[in-house]
Amino acid sequence: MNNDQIFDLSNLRKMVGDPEVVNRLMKIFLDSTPTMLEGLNEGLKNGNYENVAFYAHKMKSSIDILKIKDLDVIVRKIEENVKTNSNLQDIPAMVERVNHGLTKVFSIIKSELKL
Amino acid sequence: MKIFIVEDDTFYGEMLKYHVSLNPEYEVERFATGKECLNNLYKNPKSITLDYSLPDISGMEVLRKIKEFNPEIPVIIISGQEDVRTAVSLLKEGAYDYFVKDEDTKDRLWNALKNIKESIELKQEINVLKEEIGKKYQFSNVIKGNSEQIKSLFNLMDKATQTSITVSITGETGTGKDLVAKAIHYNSPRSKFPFVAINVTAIPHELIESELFGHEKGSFTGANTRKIGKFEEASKGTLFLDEIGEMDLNMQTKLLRALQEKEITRVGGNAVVKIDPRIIVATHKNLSEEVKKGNFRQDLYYRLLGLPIYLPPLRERGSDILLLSKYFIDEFVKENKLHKKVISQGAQEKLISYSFPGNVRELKAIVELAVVLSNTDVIEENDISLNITTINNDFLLEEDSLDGYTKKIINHYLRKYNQNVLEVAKRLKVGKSTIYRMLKNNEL
Repeated sequence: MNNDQIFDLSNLRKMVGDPEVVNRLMKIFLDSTPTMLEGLNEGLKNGNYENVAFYAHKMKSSIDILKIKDLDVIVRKIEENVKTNSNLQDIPAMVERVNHGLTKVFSIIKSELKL
Repeated sequence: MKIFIVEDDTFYGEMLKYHVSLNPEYEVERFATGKECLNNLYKNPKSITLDYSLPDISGMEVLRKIKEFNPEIPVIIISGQEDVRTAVSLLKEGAYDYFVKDEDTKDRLWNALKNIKESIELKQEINVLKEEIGKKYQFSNVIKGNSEQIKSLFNLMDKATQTSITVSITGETGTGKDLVAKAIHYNSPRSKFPFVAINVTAIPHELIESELFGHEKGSFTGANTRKIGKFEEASKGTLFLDEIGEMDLNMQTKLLRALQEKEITRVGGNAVVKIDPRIIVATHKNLSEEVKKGNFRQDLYYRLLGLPIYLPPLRERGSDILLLSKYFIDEFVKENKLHKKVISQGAQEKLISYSFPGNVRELKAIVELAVVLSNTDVIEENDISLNITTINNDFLLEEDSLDGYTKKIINHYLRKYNQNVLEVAKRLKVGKSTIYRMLKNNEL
C-alpha cells in the first residue's frame, strides 16, 4: 500500500505493527479526514481563517504519520500565516494544494483497500 | 489501570488507543470531546492523555476541571501545538507532561504511563506501610502497663494527638520518651507527614545549627552541597528534639527565634524559609532547675513547655514491672522460637524489689537474658541478673595498646550513659571534641 511519491505507510506500520490494525486505521482515515477537509474549505469560503487554521492544525498529526509529501509543510504554513496574520493571500492556494493532495491519497488508499 | 485518551482526531486517537491497549494491564477509553471526558471522570481514571485543541472546550480548561475533580490524576498533554510557551503554561497548570505529536510520541507515552503506574504502586505500598506503622504505634502497643500512671499517660497522649500543641516529655533514661513521641505523631493528623528526630547530644554543637536549619553550599568547610535541615524536613510533620536540655545557650536563642517566627534561614543563606512542624521535645533533666541554674533560657522553656508529659520511672509503676516482664519474655520466646516461660515467685519478688535505674530498657535486657540462662520453662531467681548493663571489666585483662584501652573505656562509658557525649566527657575528664572526633572517624 505504498505510493512513494505521495505518502508513506512505513511509519504507521512501524508504530502499529499488525497489518489488520493498519487497514482499520486507514479506513478511519478515509472516514474522518474528509470532514476535516470540509471544515477547511468551509472556513475558506466564509473567509474565516481561524477555522481554516483550526482544521489545518487538526490534520497535522495524520499527515505527519502518513508522511504525505509537502502537505506537512503546507498545513503548518497555513497555521503560521493565520497566527501571524501575514500573507493571507497565499492561503487559498495552499488550501487547494491540501485538497488536491488528500484527494489523491484517498483514491490510492481506496484502491489498495479495494473499497 | 484505567486510562482516558481525549482526542477528537479519530485516526490519531484510535492509533494511540490501540498502542496503549497493547499492555493488558491498561484499560483504555477514548473520548472525542472535553465534555465527554469530564462527564466520565467518576470512573476514576489513573491517567488521562489530552489533546490541547478540542472542538468544544480548550485543553487548558479541561485540564483545570480534571485537577478540580482530582488533583492526583496525572494528565499528559499530547498536542500538535509546538509553541513552548503553551507547554510551559500547561505544565504550570499541573500537567504531568507535554508531548508534541510526532513519530516518537507513542514511545514517550508508553514510558510515561509505565512511570505513572510504578508511582501509583509505590504510593499504595507507602500507604500500606504507613497504616502498619500507625498500628505499630497504637498507644497500647508502645507503652505496656495497667498502673494508674500509665492510664493517665494514655489520656495525656490522646489529648496530644488531637492538636499540634508542643509536647515536652520528661523522664529518666529508658522510660520510652522516643516511643511516646512517635506514638503521638503516628496517631495525629500529621501522621501522613514525616516524623523527624534529632538527638541533641549526638551532634557536635558546632554542627547543630546546620543540622536543624540546613546550610547552603560553601557556607563552611565541608559544606559541598546545599542541605535541607530537620526543620524543613519535618514541615507539616513532627520534629522531635531529644535531649533538648543539652542544647547550648547560643543555639537555644536561635531555636527560640525559629519557633516564634515560624521561619528559618539556612546557614550561609539569606532566603527565609517558612516552617510548620509540630514540636515534641524530650529530656531526662529537670528543665525548670536548669533555668534556675542559668543553663536553659526561661523564654524557650515556656515556649517548649506546651503539654508536659512525665514518664514515671519503672520502679514507681508497681505491677507494671511484672506485666512488662511477661510481655518481653513472650515476645523473646516467640521471636526465637523457644518454649514458653513463666516467672517463679522468687524471680518476681526479685524484679519488683529492684530499682531499675535503666528503666524499661534495662528490664527488657534483664528478662531476655533470664530466658536465655534459664534451664527449664520456669525462670528462677538465679536466672535474674541485676546490674547486667554494667559491662564486665575483664576487657582490661586482655593485652592491648594504650589507644585500644582508651577506646574500650570510652565505649564502656558511652554505653553506660546512653551515648551522652557531654556526660561521658565530664566523667572521664576529657574534651568532648576528642570523643566527637573519635565518633566521626569511626574509632569507637
